[in-house]
Amino acid sequence: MTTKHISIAKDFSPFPAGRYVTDGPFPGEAFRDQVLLPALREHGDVTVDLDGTNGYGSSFLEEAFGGLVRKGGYSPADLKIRLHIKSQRQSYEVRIWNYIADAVH
Amino acid sequence: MSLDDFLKWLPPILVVLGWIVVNWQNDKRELRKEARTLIDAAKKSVGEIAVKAVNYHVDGQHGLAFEIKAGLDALEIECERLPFFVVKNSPLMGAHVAFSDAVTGGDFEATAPAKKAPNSPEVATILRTRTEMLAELERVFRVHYLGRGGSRHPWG
Repeated sequence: MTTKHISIAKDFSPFPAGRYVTDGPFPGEAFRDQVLLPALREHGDVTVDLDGTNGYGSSFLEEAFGGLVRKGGYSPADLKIRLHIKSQRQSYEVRIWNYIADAVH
Repeated sequence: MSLDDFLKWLPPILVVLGWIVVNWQNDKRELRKEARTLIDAAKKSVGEIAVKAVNYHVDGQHGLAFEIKAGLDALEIECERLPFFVVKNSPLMGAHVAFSDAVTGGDFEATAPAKKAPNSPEVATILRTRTEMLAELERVFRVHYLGRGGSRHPWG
């Protein structure tokens, strides 16, 4: 199985913002549907690099990563094995795994 | 060693021991001063972010979104200098995450985010998590630099 490395700044936008596609050009929903879900379907492991952007709102992160459970049908246990988060700011990683866990409920 | 030899060496030994104690106390005091400055700066950042967040959500000042996100990143960098912040799920990390979620969650950065009332649940959550963050910063200072008020364990 291959590993896919995604840099949000390079592969999506340095200016991610908002939750839904109606919120602007680079929201969490678009990142999830156009970049993250295809990568998870085609590759065994996916590493998402969060560095290099102008920061993230919880709205973007929740929709992008919590949405993997709600809309993508992935389980938190599966994601824990296959999804890897890379960031200089550790709180982003903590937040993302919180959203993934909370999306089950 | 005879008593005379011992007495001859006693004064310089006491001088060295005294220097070690004073140096240790000075180090501790300087560390405490630096920590106090750092904690005060972090508390100021928390207050400024909370004000901007309320202006964003209540007054509809949506141009503040970038400043809020940049402020949260800067706050995290300040907190990283404090003990145990980088330990996942430490109370300070938990407080920072809860504050970040309160400030930038919901319809943050939506095209037309709904204006919230000053007494709305969203604003109440921002203010509550701000207070918890401030309290946790003070707890870190109290426990790690004053040596009182709880365990030095990251979960206090």
